[in-house]
Amino acid sequence: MEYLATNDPYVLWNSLYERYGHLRSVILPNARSEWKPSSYKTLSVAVAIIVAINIVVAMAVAIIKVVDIIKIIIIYLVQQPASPPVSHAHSHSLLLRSPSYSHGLSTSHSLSLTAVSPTSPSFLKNSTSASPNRRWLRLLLRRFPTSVKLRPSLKFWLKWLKKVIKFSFAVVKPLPLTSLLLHLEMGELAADKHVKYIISVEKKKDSFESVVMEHLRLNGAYWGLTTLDILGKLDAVDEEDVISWILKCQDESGGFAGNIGHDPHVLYTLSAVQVLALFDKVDILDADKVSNYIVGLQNEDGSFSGDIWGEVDTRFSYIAICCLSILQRLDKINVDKAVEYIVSCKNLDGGFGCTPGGESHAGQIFCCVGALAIAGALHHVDKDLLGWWLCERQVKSGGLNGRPEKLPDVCYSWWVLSSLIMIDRVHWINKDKLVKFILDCQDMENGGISDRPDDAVDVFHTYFGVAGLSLLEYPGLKPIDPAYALPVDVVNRIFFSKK
Amino acid sequence: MSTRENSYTEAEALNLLAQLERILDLDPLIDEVGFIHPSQFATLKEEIVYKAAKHAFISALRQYKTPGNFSGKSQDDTLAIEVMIHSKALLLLSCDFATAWNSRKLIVSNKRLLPILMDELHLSALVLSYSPKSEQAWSHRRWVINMIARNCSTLQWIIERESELVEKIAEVLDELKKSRNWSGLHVADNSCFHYRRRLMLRNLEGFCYTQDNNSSGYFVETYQIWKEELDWNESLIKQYVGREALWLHRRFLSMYLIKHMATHLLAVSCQSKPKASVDIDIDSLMDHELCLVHSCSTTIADANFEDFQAQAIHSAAYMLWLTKQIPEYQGIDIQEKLRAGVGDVTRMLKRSCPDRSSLWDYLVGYHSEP
Repeated sequence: MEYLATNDPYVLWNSLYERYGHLRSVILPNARSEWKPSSYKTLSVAVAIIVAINIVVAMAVAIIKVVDIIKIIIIYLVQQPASPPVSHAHSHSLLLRSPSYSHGLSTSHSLSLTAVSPTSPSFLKNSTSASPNRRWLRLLLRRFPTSVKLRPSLKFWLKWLKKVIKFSFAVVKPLPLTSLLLHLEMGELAADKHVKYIISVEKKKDSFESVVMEHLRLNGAYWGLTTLDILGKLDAVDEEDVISWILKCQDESGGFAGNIGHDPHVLYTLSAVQVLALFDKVDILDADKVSNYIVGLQNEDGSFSGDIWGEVDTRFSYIAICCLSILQRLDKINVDKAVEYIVSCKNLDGGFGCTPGGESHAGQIFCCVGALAIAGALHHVDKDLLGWWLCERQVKSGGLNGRPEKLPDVCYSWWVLSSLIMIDRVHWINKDKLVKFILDCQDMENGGISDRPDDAVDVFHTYFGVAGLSLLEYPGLKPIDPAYALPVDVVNRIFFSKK
Repeated sequence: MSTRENSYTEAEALNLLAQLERILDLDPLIDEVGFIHPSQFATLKEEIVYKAAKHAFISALRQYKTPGNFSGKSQDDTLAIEVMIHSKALLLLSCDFATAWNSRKLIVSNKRLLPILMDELHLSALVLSYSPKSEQAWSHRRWVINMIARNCSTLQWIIERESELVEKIAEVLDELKKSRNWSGLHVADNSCFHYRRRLMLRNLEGFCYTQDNNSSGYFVETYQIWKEELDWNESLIKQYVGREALWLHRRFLSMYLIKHMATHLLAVSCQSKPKASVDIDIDSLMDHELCLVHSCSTTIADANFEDFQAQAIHSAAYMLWLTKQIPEYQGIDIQEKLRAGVGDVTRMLKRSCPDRSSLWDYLVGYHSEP
């Protein structure tokens, strides 16, 4: 931060100018040239297409072989004992041929079937020169009386049958191919890998990364455990262990700290309450004590401080309202004043900042909209204007960014998406592209999700990726509440089954 | 214990001498409590160092906090110094360790002296030099500045008290001018344009206060500033093709200019003859905007360059914004022109930006309501 040290603006100007020049002439063209999709991806897609074609061919051949078997059965059942066995052998030999040949043969067969009109007498009378494949039909028809054979209704039926066979064949052929390609396009959520990753992170307490992050371990617990619950694997952790550790993080003031022995802050208090809600153990808390801690942090203008040191941010307003709502003590604060403060942070573009006049940012918007939603004051939001700003966060790759001109990041797929859902404008973005973006950010080998494709993973982005997919109704995931950021069944349990 | 303290003070002294842009290498001191520079994470003893630092810090803090040790001021001071030293070491290793920052706040708030507060600024600057996104460091800085403002506020107090409204506005104008060059080089930085918007709004507020006396002259000046900003924005738009932040800034500018200036205009022109010959015709303004939009959107054909495509999309969205923001405007011909343009614009937007087709549909539907 040379701005803080150097006083001479000329020096600052020069270094800025240099840096800008370097960026513009060197880094930007480099980045542009690297932006083409990697050859590995195109190669794998090509291989996949070839494999798909082979599978389709095999499937078609299998269908035809089954039909052949049926024909043979009919011949066997229907034919007279005097008929020469050569037809049998012929059909058998048909089956023994290589797939491509029999495929070719069967196409000619189907073609010949349709080419020959059932009304022409030659179809039925020409017994010696007819191919054995048609014999089954003749033999079958022989069972019926001659008059029936020549009935127009039967001929009509035959004609339509041929049409149906041809049509269904035409339809079935491309279907496996397209579904296969779609499957490759969308990718898949590697749920088991993510579960393993989260559990490994929880256990790994001694690496430098986890040691340096230990002051926010309670937040990490919330991210990891909520992800596990969405994936339906919350039982993979030891509930008793987690809960006893959380209770040790509580400070005598009632608030919770990030880890044992640290100072309390509302950020960790909310995470603690949320994790206890996941396990349905909110009642082991002294709700009055915790809520008093939060109530004590409300300021005169309705805003909330994060802790006793007084920093104000709309994030803390959201935390206070959400936490007290879960504890069912929302009446203890001045809700109207709190709403008034949040509304004062509204900007001209419809978004919200961290303080009045602060720049609109997706994270802050989520906090403000969520707080207003819980407090029942969403009418203060200009939904069209905000929806416009939010849907402009979607970039070409399908991901969402947090502010104009920024790179997309998976965590915004939660904050922007949940805000859009709360103001009912989610149809203004392309959901499929967003799903694809999130799935591309996965680490398919080791599990976990990163902020952008091919970056390093962490629990934070894993949670937001999975939560975003849940909001997008990805199959196999529990639905999540956009305002409380907890699974819907947990929220229902709090409000509808308890007193 | 004393040797450890010595090593810390040594390190501290070294640190204080280090320049903000180049951080010196420090020798790893005692084997268990070395002071490893953050960029030398290649060495594998970080966990041990961190744990030792944390342990030292917590024990020092606990000693400081226990109320029994009030046997003399010197004792209290040495404990405080220990806490400061250990917290400094800890913070250089783990800059988001909130408890360490809080302990420093606690000690500093007991002795509110300017040099100590400046030290805090120095440390937070050091931390921010290698991790500029550290939220705790920024928060600490804000707190320190608040403390300075509250307690050692003589200088700033004087400045604030002495400035009149006009001077305050002049400061805003100065700031606008100063930051303009920087903004011109950082056109993709939305925050800098947000800052400019705030300055412009402050300017407008100032204008509102002085509306009663000598309004028309002042109004002309304010109008000039806004018009200048619009023109500068236009030149940037043409120069830097396809920058979203510029178009968003323009939305704000034109909206405010038309909404607020127009109303004041009418009031002023009714009362007295306008002294300066300023062409404040809103119709011509709208015409100008439409021309700009047209010129930008015709370059959509050049599909190779994302910039031009983005430019066209942004200009089209800007046009939709205009139509949505000024529905009640009385000028009928303007509305007709806008409506005529909207059809083409929506078609083009739907083709080039199909993801948001439901948004375009909604906006157009909204506009066509009588």
